[in-house]
Amino acid sequence: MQKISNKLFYFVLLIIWILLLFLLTPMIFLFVDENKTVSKIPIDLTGDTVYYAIDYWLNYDNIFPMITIDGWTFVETEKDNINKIVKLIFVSDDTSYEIDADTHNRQGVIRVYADKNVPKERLGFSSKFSPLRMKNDDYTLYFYVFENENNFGIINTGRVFRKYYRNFTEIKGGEKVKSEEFAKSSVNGSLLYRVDWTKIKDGKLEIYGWAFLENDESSVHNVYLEIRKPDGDISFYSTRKMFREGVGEHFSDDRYNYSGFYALLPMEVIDQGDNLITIFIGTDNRAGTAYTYYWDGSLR
Amino acid sequence: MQKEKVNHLKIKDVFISILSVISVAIYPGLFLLFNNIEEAYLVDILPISGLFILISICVLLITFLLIKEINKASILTSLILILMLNFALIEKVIIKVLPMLYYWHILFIILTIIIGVAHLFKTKFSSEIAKNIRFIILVVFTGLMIINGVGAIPGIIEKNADVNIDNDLVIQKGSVKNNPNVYFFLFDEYGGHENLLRYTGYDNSPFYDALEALGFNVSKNSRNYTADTYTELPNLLNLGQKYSTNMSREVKMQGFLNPVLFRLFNENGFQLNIISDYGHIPIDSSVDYSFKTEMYEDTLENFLLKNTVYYPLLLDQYKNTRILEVESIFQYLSDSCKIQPENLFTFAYVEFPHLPWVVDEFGNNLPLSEKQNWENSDTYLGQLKFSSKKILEVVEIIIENDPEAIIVIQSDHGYRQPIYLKNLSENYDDWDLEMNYIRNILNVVYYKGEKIDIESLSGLNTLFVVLNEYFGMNFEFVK
Repeated sequence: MQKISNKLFYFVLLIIWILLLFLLTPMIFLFVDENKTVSKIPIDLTGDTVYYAIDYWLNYDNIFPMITIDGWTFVETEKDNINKIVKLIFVSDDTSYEIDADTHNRQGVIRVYADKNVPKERLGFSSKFSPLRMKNDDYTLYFYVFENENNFGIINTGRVFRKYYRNFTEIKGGEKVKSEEFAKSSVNGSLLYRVDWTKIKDGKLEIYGWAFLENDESSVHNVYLEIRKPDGDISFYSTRKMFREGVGEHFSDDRYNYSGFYALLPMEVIDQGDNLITIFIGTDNRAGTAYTYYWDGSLR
Repeated sequence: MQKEKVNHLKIKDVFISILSVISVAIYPGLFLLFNNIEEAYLVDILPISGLFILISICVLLITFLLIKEINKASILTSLILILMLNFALIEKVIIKVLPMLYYWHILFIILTIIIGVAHLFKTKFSSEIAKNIRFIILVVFTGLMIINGVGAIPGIIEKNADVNIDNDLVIQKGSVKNNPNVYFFLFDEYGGHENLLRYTGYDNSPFYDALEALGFNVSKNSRNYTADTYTELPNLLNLGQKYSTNMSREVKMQGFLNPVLFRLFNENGFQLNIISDYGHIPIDSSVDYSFKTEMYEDTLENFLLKNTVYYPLLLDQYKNTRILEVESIFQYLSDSCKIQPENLFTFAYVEFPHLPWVVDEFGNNLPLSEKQNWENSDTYLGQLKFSSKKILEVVEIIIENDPEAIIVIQSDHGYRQPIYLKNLSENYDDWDLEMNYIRNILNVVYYKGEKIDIESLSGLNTLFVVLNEYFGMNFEFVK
């Protein structure tokens, strides 16, 4: 009897311990301001053109990791508003989070945009948030700017951040991706692409171009590269999304403005001879043809 | 008789237990010391090891009160110390397997382990086994310290060996008898007027105007010969272009040892007052007064603490430490004029506004990750503006207390953003042109409030003008 009650005691203790372990993070965040809420702002909101720049983003890796993003942003307006709203929206396939930013004056920006109706005040923004309880995923950063009821807008910065537990990093393109992720891919005839250039830069292979699926919004898709060496060895790499307004203009469709891609790859992905680069949009859509890059073996 | 023996044994147990936990507490410090013996000194680890010892005794006391058996308490204390002093390493290992865990989870797990082991010791372990384990801990840690200590002996011998200094330079004798004090301040990475305009868009004229109002002669377009501190600094200190960029760092550092400039002043009856930020300028016996800082990130104390459970709080500590160091340097510079009314040569090399960029123009802390942000020139500019304010404060105090003084303020090179952005896909068409701007330095001289011509002169030639004027010497300009 004593043995059974002892066992029960230890079992209950273990359950409490496991529960505590799981609840530690939410308990701690009762006392820490994350400055982050689930976003309901529609990212396809039609509005005015948003001008912006990110001066820097920082991962202040302390007990509670904090991200700081500073820069400036505005929508043209003649009506300055003391209650201007700037929000940063991190958008993934599943969830979106919005972060409130503080605003401050940036006189230099007014001088640069002398030909535009730049609000005189509150051009700069500064935001700070904890990414710790964001779901693990890749997030595209949008800016939502509300100058006043007549002038507001939202813009996709094209910058993608990866949250993986305590790490929060910007995806620069060129990370190796497991080939299994492309196992279900098939050739999609509506995938259009162009590789603008491939060159060796600082001992790495630089690839720049654009790719999109016809009649589809380009900003929501990631572009991947399959590289087949002359000996048949295959590897997959991620790319960084680039803003290519010219592509949208050329095809008369703004949905292709974010079709640009860029990647800096290690030299071991290629070998001397013909290397075949195949474009993927997402992990499902494969281009029907491959781009051939001939490498003569030199590092110039 | 029997009672006496029991008491004697208890005292012995207490003594060995204390020794055992102390050996665990001081081992990390001694390990670091012995493995860095060429650069480190015992005094570097004394405060932090003292703190560890104090903590270990407190923990021993608490565990003894809980377990009521000194040998078991000693083992438990050793375990706590090992876990807490190596917390960051343990965390790294656990995170590799379970990346979803955070700092507080690891702390929770470790505390659970400690409580579990304490319970186990109290209920399952015999005192005799505990005594043996405690003794093994003492022997193992003492043995490790001896092994590391023996391994460090060659380094200790080498460190204490005499250094040969090139003494073949002839020092000119000046003609001045009552020598007003001379101050030479070198601020690393303080961009010249043109340099700042080009890379930060900032017009630093108010700073130059304020200096001119105090009686300074200014040259906004002075340039040094390279953008390398370890070339410019030894050349300035040795009054010649003896060192070049293609020499090794070790060779160039020889130029900091008893340099010509120090000897020149020394042999002309001056006492030396040297401010050596981050310890770049060695302070030897020829120096009468000195002030030295060291990079907190590189201290043994920091190396020890960043492995402990305290590590997340270190980031703030480092940031605050650097700005405190800089503040203390400026304070010392201000006070230098009070050391003696004449015959004092003060030289300061200050690695500021050089990175780490830790403050904005108002002296407020920047996020730690800004400390090397070359992309945003505002980060550098804020620290530069802050240093300008501090420089003005210092020279106002010196001139007020010592109006007959000579004050030379220079930098070694300007803001080097293009060099660091060169690898970040930033392109510059004409690299020679950029280097021309990067070499644009801060160069101002207060010569007893008198006018002297330093326009367009390099740092070295400006020094020659001052020395020729002051001592009646005949240094010739270098090209």
